[in-house]
Amino acid sequence: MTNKELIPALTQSTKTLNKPLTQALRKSALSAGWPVALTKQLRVVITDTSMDVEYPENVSARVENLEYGDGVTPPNPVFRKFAKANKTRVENSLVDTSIDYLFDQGVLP
Amino acid sequence: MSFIIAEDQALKTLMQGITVSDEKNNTRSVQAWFSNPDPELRNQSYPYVTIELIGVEWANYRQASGFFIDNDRQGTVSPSSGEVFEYEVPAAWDLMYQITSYSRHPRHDRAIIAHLLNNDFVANRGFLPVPNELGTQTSYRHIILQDFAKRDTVEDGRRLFRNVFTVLVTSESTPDSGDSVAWVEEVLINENPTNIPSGLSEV
Repeated sequence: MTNKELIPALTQSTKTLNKPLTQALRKSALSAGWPVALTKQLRVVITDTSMDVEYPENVSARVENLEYGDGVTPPNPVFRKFAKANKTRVENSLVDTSIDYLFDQGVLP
Repeated sequence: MSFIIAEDQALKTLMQGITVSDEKNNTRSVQAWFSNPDPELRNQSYPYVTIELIGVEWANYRQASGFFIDNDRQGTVSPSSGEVFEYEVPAAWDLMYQITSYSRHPRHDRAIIAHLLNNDFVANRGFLPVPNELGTQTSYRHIILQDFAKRDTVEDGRRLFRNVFTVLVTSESTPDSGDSVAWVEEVLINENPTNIPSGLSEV
Protein backbone atom coordinates (compact mmCIF):
# COMPACT_ATOMS: atom_id res chain seq x y z
CA MET A 1 0.00 0.00 0.00
CA THR A 2 1.34 3.45 -0.90
CA ASN A 3 0.63 6.85 0.57
CA LYS A 4 -1.89 7.50 -2.20
CA GLU A 5 -3.66 4.34 -1.22
CA LEU A 6 -3.98 5.12 2.47
CA ILE A 7 -6.79 7.70 2.29
CA PRO A 8 -9.03 5.52 0.08
CA ALA A 9 -8.29 2.58 2.37
CA LEU A 10 -9.35 4.58 5.41
CA THR A 11 -12.52 5.72 3.64
CA GLN A 12 -13.29 2.16 2.64
CA SER A 13 -12.71 0.83 6.15
CA THR A 14 -15.23 3.26 7.62
CA LYS A 15 -17.74 2.56 4.86
CA THR A 16 -17.79 -1.10 5.79
CA LEU A 17 -19.23 0.03 9.13
CA ASN A 18 -22.34 1.54 7.53
CA LYS A 19 -24.25 -1.72 7.52
CA PRO A 20 -23.49 -3.00 11.05
CA LEU A 21 -23.99 0.48 12.48
CA THR A 22 -27.33 0.79 10.70
CA GLN A 23 -28.39 -2.54 12.16
CA ALA A 24 -27.26 -1.47 15.62
CA LEU A 25 -29.11 1.84 15.34
CA ARG A 26 -32.34 0.17 14.27
CA LYS A 27 -32.02 -2.26 17.17
CA SER A 28 -31.55 0.65 19.59
CA ALA A 29 -34.60 2.42 18.17
CA LEU A 30 -36.70 -0.72 18.50
CA SER A 31 -35.53 -1.21 22.07
CA ALA A 32 -36.54 2.37 22.83
CA GLY A 33 -40.02 1.65 21.55
CA TRP A 34 -39.89 3.54 18.26
CA PRO A 35 -42.40 2.29 15.65
CA VAL A 36 -41.06 -0.61 13.60
CA ALA A 37 -41.96 1.01 10.28
CA LEU A 38 -39.97 4.09 11.25
CA THR A 39 -36.90 2.23 12.44
CA LYS A 40 -36.65 0.43 9.09
CA GLN A 41 -36.13 3.78 7.41
CA LEU A 42 -33.13 4.81 9.50
CA ARG A 43 -29.69 4.51 7.97
CA VAL A 44 -26.19 5.29 9.23
CA VAL A 45 -23.86 6.89 6.70
CA ILE A 46 -20.23 7.61 7.46
CA THR A 47 -18.69 10.39 5.41
CA ASP A 48 -15.14 11.74 5.40
CA THR A 49 -15.87 14.00 8.34
CA SER A 50 -18.87 12.69 10.24
CA MET A 51 -21.25 9.89 11.10
CA ASP A 52 -24.79 10.82 10.07
CA VAL A 53 -28.19 9.25 10.44
CA GLU A 54 -30.37 9.53 7.34
CA TYR A 55 -34.12 9.14 7.02
CA PRO A 56 -36.68 10.19 4.39
CA GLU A 57 -37.96 13.75 4.49
CA ASN A 58 -41.58 12.64 4.92
CA VAL A 59 -40.83 11.05 8.31
CA SER A 60 -38.41 13.69 9.58
CA ALA A 61 -40.97 15.43 11.81
CA ARG A 62 -41.96 12.15 13.47
CA VAL A 63 -38.36 11.08 13.92
CA GLU A 64 -37.27 14.39 15.41
CA ASN A 65 -40.29 14.58 17.69
CA LEU A 66 -39.41 11.16 19.03
CA GLU A 67 -35.77 12.11 19.50
CA TYR A 68 -36.28 15.54 21.08
CA GLY A 69 -39.89 15.46 22.29
CA ASP A 70 -42.57 17.73 20.94
CA GLY A 71 -43.38 19.87 23.94
CA VAL A 72 -46.06 17.48 25.17
CA THR A 73 -44.48 14.06 24.75
CA PRO A 74 -41.08 13.77 26.45
CA PRO A 75 -37.96 12.95 24.41
CA ASN A 76 -37.13 9.34 23.70
CA PRO A 77 -33.56 9.76 22.46
CA VAL A 78 -31.88 7.15 20.31
CA PHE A 79 -29.47 9.03 18.02
CA ARG A 80 -27.61 10.88 20.74
CA LYS A 81 -27.07 7.79 22.87
CA PHE A 82 -26.08 5.83 19.79
CA ALA A 83 -23.53 8.45 18.71
CA LYS A 84 -21.95 8.47 22.17
CA ALA A 85 -21.82 4.68 22.37
CA ASN A 86 -20.38 4.14 18.88
CA LYS A 87 -17.97 7.00 18.53
CA THR A 88 -14.98 4.84 19.38
CA ARG A 89 -16.08 2.11 16.96
CA VAL A 90 -15.35 4.36 13.98
CA GLU A 91 -12.14 5.63 15.54
CA ASN A 92 -10.96 2.07 16.18
CA SER A 93 -11.56 1.14 12.55
CA LEU A 94 -9.42 4.05 11.40
CA VAL A 95 -6.67 3.15 13.84
CA ASP A 96 -6.68 -0.51 12.76
CA THR A 97 -6.39 0.41 9.09
CA SER A 98 -3.62 2.90 9.80
CA ILE A 99 -1.65 0.35 11.80
CA ASP A 100 -2.05 -2.24 9.04
CA TYR A 101 -0.68 0.38 6.65
CA LEU A 102 2.34 1.00 8.84
CA PHE A 103 3.08 -2.75 8.96
CA ASP A 104 2.64 -3.09 5.19
CA GLN A 105 5.05 -0.21 4.60
CA GLY A 106 7.64 -1.72 6.89
CA VAL A 107 7.50 1.29 9.21
CA LEU A 108 6.60 -1.10 12.01
CA PRO A 109 8.62 -4.32 12.13
CA MET B 1 -29.47 14.10 48.63
CA SER B 2 -28.32 11.09 46.78
CA PHE B 3 -26.85 10.51 43.38
CA ILE B 4 -29.09 11.72 40.50
CA ILE B 5 -31.48 13.58 42.81
CA ALA B 6 -28.65 15.90 43.83
CA GLU B 7 -27.68 16.57 40.21
CA ASP B 8 -31.33 17.10 39.26
CA GLN B 9 -31.74 19.71 41.95
CA ALA B 10 -28.41 21.38 41.18
CA LEU B 11 -29.28 21.64 37.50
CA LYS B 12 -32.66 23.14 38.32
CA THR B 13 -31.01 25.68 40.59
CA LEU B 14 -28.59 26.57 37.80
CA MET B 15 -31.39 26.99 35.27
CA GLN B 16 -33.42 29.17 37.61
CA GLY B 17 -30.77 31.84 37.44
CA ILE B 18 -31.63 32.95 33.89
CA THR B 19 -33.27 36.32 33.26
CA VAL B 20 -34.25 37.90 29.95
CA SER B 21 -35.38 41.39 29.05
CA ASP B 22 -37.99 42.93 26.76
CA GLU B 23 -39.84 46.18 26.31
CA LYS B 24 -42.14 45.43 29.26
CA ASN B 25 -39.78 43.86 31.74
CA ASN B 26 -36.04 44.26 32.08
CA THR B 27 -35.53 41.31 34.38
CA ARG B 28 -38.00 38.62 33.44
CA SER B 29 -37.14 35.35 35.15
CA VAL B 30 -37.05 32.20 33.10
CA GLN B 31 -38.91 29.41 34.87
CA ALA B 32 -37.38 25.94 35.10
CA TRP B 33 -39.35 22.72 35.28
CA PHE B 34 -38.61 19.05 35.37
CA SER B 35 -40.25 17.96 32.14
CA ASN B 36 -42.92 20.03 30.48
CA PRO B 37 -45.40 21.77 32.76
CA ASP B 38 -48.89 20.36 32.68
CA PRO B 39 -51.17 23.31 31.83
CA GLU B 40 -53.86 21.89 34.09
CA LEU B 41 -51.58 21.98 37.09
CA ARG B 42 -49.34 24.99 36.52
CA ASN B 43 -49.36 28.20 34.60
CA GLN B 44 -47.40 27.68 31.41
CA SER B 45 -45.93 31.13 30.98
CA TYR B 46 -43.11 31.80 28.55
CA PRO B 47 -40.17 31.77 28.56
CA TYR B 48 -39.24 28.63 30.42
CA VAL B 49 -36.81 25.73 30.27
CA THR B 50 -37.38 22.07 30.93
CA ILE B 51 -34.92 19.58 32.36
CA GLU B 52 -35.13 15.95 31.37
CA LEU B 53 -32.84 13.13 32.39
CA ILE B 54 -32.51 11.10 29.19
CA GLY B 55 -29.66 8.74 29.97
CA VAL B 56 -27.69 7.18 32.81
CA GLU B 57 -24.58 5.29 31.75
CA TRP B 58 -21.75 3.74 33.66
CA ALA B 59 -18.64 5.74 32.74
CA ASN B 60 -16.27 2.81 32.34
CA TYR B 61 -13.63 5.02 30.67
CA ARG B 62 -12.95 6.83 33.96
CA GLN B 63 -13.75 4.11 36.46
CA ALA B 64 -11.19 3.07 39.06
CA SER B 65 -11.68 0.36 41.64
CA GLY B 66 -10.54 -0.54 45.12
CA PHE B 67 -10.74 1.05 48.53
CA PHE B 68 -9.56 4.38 49.82
CA ILE B 69 -7.92 4.07 53.21
CA ASP B 70 -7.18 7.36 54.88
CA ASN B 71 -5.64 7.75 58.33
CA ASP B 72 -4.28 11.26 57.96
CA ARG B 73 -7.25 13.05 56.43
CA GLN B 74 -5.62 13.07 53.04
CA GLY B 75 -2.30 14.27 54.36
CA THR B 76 -3.62 17.18 56.36
CA VAL B 77 -2.92 15.84 59.87
CA SER B 78 -0.50 13.41 61.48
CA PRO B 79 -1.75 9.84 61.45
CA SER B 80 -3.20 8.77 64.75
CA SER B 81 -4.17 5.30 65.80
CA GLY B 82 -7.86 4.58 65.85
CA GLU B 83 -8.76 7.13 63.22
CA VAL B 84 -9.13 5.49 59.83
CA PHE B 85 -11.60 6.25 57.10
CA GLU B 86 -12.13 3.47 54.62
CA TYR B 87 -14.48 3.61 51.69
CA GLU B 88 -14.90 2.00 48.31
CA VAL B 89 -13.98 3.95 45.19
CA PRO B 90 -17.19 5.56 43.92
CA ALA B 91 -18.84 4.24 40.76
CA ALA B 92 -18.48 6.68 37.86
CA TRP B 93 -21.58 7.66 35.93
CA ASP B 94 -22.43 9.88 33.00
CA LEU B 95 -25.81 11.54 33.29
CA MET B 96 -27.24 12.80 30.02
CA TYR B 97 -29.73 15.63 30.26
CA GLN B 98 -31.85 17.38 27.70
CA ILE B 99 -32.43 21.03 28.46
CA THR B 100 -35.11 22.55 26.25
CA SER B 101 -35.93 26.26 26.17
CA TYR B 102 -39.32 27.60 25.08
CA SER B 103 -40.08 31.23 24.28
CA ARG B 104 -42.48 33.27 22.20
CA HIS B 105 -40.22 36.28 21.79
CA PRO B 106 -37.16 36.04 19.51
CA ARG B 107 -35.17 38.25 21.85
CA HIS B 108 -35.88 35.91 24.75
CA ASP B 109 -34.83 33.02 22.57
CA ARG B 110 -31.48 34.56 21.73
CA ALA B 111 -30.90 35.73 25.29
CA ILE B 112 -31.43 32.22 26.63
CA ILE B 113 -29.06 30.73 24.05
CA ALA B 114 -26.45 33.37 24.83
CA HIS B 115 -26.79 32.88 28.56
CA LEU B 116 -26.51 29.11 28.45
CA LEU B 117 -23.62 28.98 25.98
CA ASN B 118 -21.71 31.76 27.73
CA ASN B 119 -22.28 30.73 31.32
CA ASP B 120 -23.49 27.22 31.89
CA PHE B 121 -22.78 25.05 28.85
CA VAL B 122 -19.45 26.47 27.76
CA ALA B 123 -18.49 23.68 25.34
CA ASN B 124 -16.56 21.24 27.51
CA ARG B 125 -15.72 23.72 30.26
CA GLY B 126 -19.06 24.02 32.02
CA PHE B 127 -19.43 22.98 35.65
CA LEU B 128 -22.30 22.19 37.96
CA PRO B 129 -22.10 23.06 41.67
CA VAL B 130 -23.68 20.24 43.68
CA PRO B 131 -24.03 20.95 47.41
CA ASN B 132 -24.02 18.08 49.88
CA GLU B 133 -27.07 17.25 51.94
CA LEU B 134 -25.91 19.25 54.95
CA GLY B 135 -25.12 22.27 52.85
CA THR B 136 -21.61 22.34 54.27
CA GLN B 137 -19.65 21.53 51.13
CA THR B 138 -20.07 21.80 47.39
CA SER B 139 -18.60 19.53 44.78
CA TYR B 140 -18.31 20.53 41.14
CA ARG B 141 -19.22 18.27 38.23
CA HIS B 142 -18.31 18.73 34.60
CA ILE B 143 -21.08 19.77 32.23
CA ILE B 144 -20.11 18.90 28.67
CA LEU B 145 -22.24 20.22 25.83
CA GLN B 146 -22.91 17.30 23.49
CA ASP B 147 -25.42 18.67 21.06
CA PHE B 148 -27.44 21.76 20.23
CA ALA B 149 -30.52 21.68 18.01
CA LYS B 150 -32.85 24.49 16.92
CA ARG B 151 -36.41 23.19 16.99
CA ASP B 152 -38.55 26.26 16.27
CA THR B 153 -42.16 25.54 15.44
CA VAL B 154 -45.60 27.11 15.22
CA GLU B 155 -48.13 26.42 17.96
CA ASP B 156 -51.70 27.70 17.85
CA GLY B 157 -50.76 29.99 14.99
CA ARG B 158 -47.95 31.62 16.97
CA ARG B 159 -44.21 31.20 16.75
CA LEU B 160 -42.65 29.02 19.39
CA PHE B 161 -38.87 29.23 19.67
CA ARG B 162 -37.37 26.02 20.97
CA ASN B 163 -33.77 25.05 21.57
CA VAL B 164 -32.55 21.66 22.63
CA PHE B 165 -29.28 21.40 24.52
CA THR B 166 -27.94 17.93 25.25
CA VAL B 167 -25.44 17.97 28.08
CA LEU B 168 -23.44 15.35 29.88
CA VAL B 169 -22.94 15.68 33.62
CA THR B 170 -20.17 13.62 35.17
CA SER B 171 -21.21 12.03 38.41
CA GLU B 172 -20.37 9.42 41.01
CA SER B 173 -22.33 7.16 43.29
CA THR B 174 -20.96 5.69 46.47
CA PRO B 175 -21.39 1.94 46.72
CA ASP B 176 -23.42 0.92 49.71
CA SER B 177 -20.65 -0.52 51.86
CA GLY B 178 -22.15 0.12 55.24
CA ASP B 179 -21.77 -3.50 56.26
CA SER B 180 -18.01 -3.21 56.10
CA VAL B 181 -17.91 -0.36 58.57
CA ALA B 182 -17.38 -1.43 62.17
CA TRP B 183 -20.04 -0.37 64.65
CA VAL B 184 -19.08 1.54 67.76
CA GLU B 185 -18.81 -1.06 70.52
CA GLU B 186 -17.49 0.95 73.43
CA VAL B 187 -17.41 4.62 74.34
CA LEU B 188 -14.58 5.62 76.65
CA ILE B 189 -15.04 8.61 78.90
CA ASN B 190 -12.25 10.18 80.87
CA GLU B 191 -13.35 9.54 84.42
CA ASN B 192 -10.84 11.89 86.00
CA PRO B 193 -10.92 15.11 84.05
CA THR B 194 -8.28 17.59 85.07
CA ASN B 195 -8.80 20.43 82.67
CA ILE B 196 -12.47 21.34 82.33
CA PRO B 197 -13.08 24.35 80.09
CA SER B 198 -14.77 27.28 81.76
CA GLY B 199 -18.54 27.19 81.43
CA LEU B 200 -18.66 23.38 81.41
CA SER B 201 -19.10 21.08 84.38
CA GLU B 202 -17.97 17.55 85.12
CA VAL B 203 -20.43 14.82 84.12
